[in-house]
Amino acid sequence: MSNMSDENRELVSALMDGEASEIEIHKLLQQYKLDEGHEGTGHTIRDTLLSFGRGTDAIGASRGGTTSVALDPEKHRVLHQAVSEAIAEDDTVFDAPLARRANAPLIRSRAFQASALAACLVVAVGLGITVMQTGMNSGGLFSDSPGVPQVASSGLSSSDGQVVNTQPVVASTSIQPALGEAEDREGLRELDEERQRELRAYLNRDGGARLDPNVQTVGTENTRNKED
Amino acid sequence: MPESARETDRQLVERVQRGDKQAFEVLVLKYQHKIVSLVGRYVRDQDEVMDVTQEAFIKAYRALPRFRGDSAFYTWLFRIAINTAKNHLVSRSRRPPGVDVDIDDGEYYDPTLSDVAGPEEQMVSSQLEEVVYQAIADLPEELKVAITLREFEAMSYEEIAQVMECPVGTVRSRIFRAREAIEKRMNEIG
Repeated sequence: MSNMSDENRELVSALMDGEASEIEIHKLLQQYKLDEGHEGTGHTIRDTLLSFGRGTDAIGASRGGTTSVALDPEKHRVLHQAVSEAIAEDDTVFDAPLARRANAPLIRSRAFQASALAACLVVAVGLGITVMQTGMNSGGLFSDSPGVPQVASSGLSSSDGQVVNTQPVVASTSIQPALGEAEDREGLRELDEERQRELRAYLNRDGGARLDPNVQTVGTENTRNKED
Repeated sequence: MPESARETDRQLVERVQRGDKQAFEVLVLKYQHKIVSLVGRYVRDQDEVMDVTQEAFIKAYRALPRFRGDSAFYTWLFRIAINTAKNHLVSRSRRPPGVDVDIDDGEYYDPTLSDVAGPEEQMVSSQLEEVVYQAIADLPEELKVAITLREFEAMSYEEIAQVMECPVGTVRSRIFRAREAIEKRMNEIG
């Protein structure tokens, strides 16, 4: 049988006055669930709330200077039981609570940032592995051999020696994948504008001001030109 | 009602909105005496009071997804209870009371409303009040002051702690012990 401690009864008293903390509310609700089946014994959250509420109500009644319809404790128990049963059977859907609505933009924003960061990391690790494999397969990181992955410091000069792209070396590095399959190449090389921005922002944040977030970091143009 | 009370209700409401029905049951327990008293200002018959109170709580539960917290939960709940009681009277072709209950003071009786309790209910209520008052009068001084400031002045624990120059935890304990003493006296009369 559930037997409430003085501590829990004191918590009930604080709850009535709106002075219970969040963790205490949680504790009381846990106890409330444990109490199920022991109602009416006088040792449950429900019994204590009803009992304390009765006293508070009597004081409140006297403050108004009038009397009203008074239900005896048993009728209050019956009333609460009836409401509880009706609520248990009710199928009201709570999909967008007040507090979560208020916090939603922040939460969504954080979730999105976390997802974007994770995606960027996956791409970065993928690129790194590819580069490492390339290096091992070819005996070096940079190779001009056909079909062998390349990390080309592209965009610094064209065949006639003129500078055609003034982007920083790191930012303009493009990667030629090891596999011949177009899909695989696309999967490794291409990020849409939004993700590129996120990746640049992440790299900037992590590595200081090494990168300019407004310049393209991963591109396919030079690689494609070579392939073409 | 102190701000802290609103905060406690808000936490319970949020739990309900996350699907915790038992949090709503606790809210019902917290307010059912007050709602019964409020409805009792409009409806005389005890069975009808119970029906209307039950209906009010169920309406509140169903409306909770739309509750945005612009007002305190108890204010919102009292408004629903008053409307439910008025609708009940209209549906029974009775005239609702001409004077509205002030929502902000809804937890207490509005003396401008006519007294609808019958002689028997009045006697029971008066007896209960007398017992409660006597119980408070018999309390040790520190408990008496704490419960009086809480119940009659609606002070928060923090405010009471300042008045009584003691820690908030002590206030909480004193109010609890006062309530236990009152409960014991009430149980003696049944």
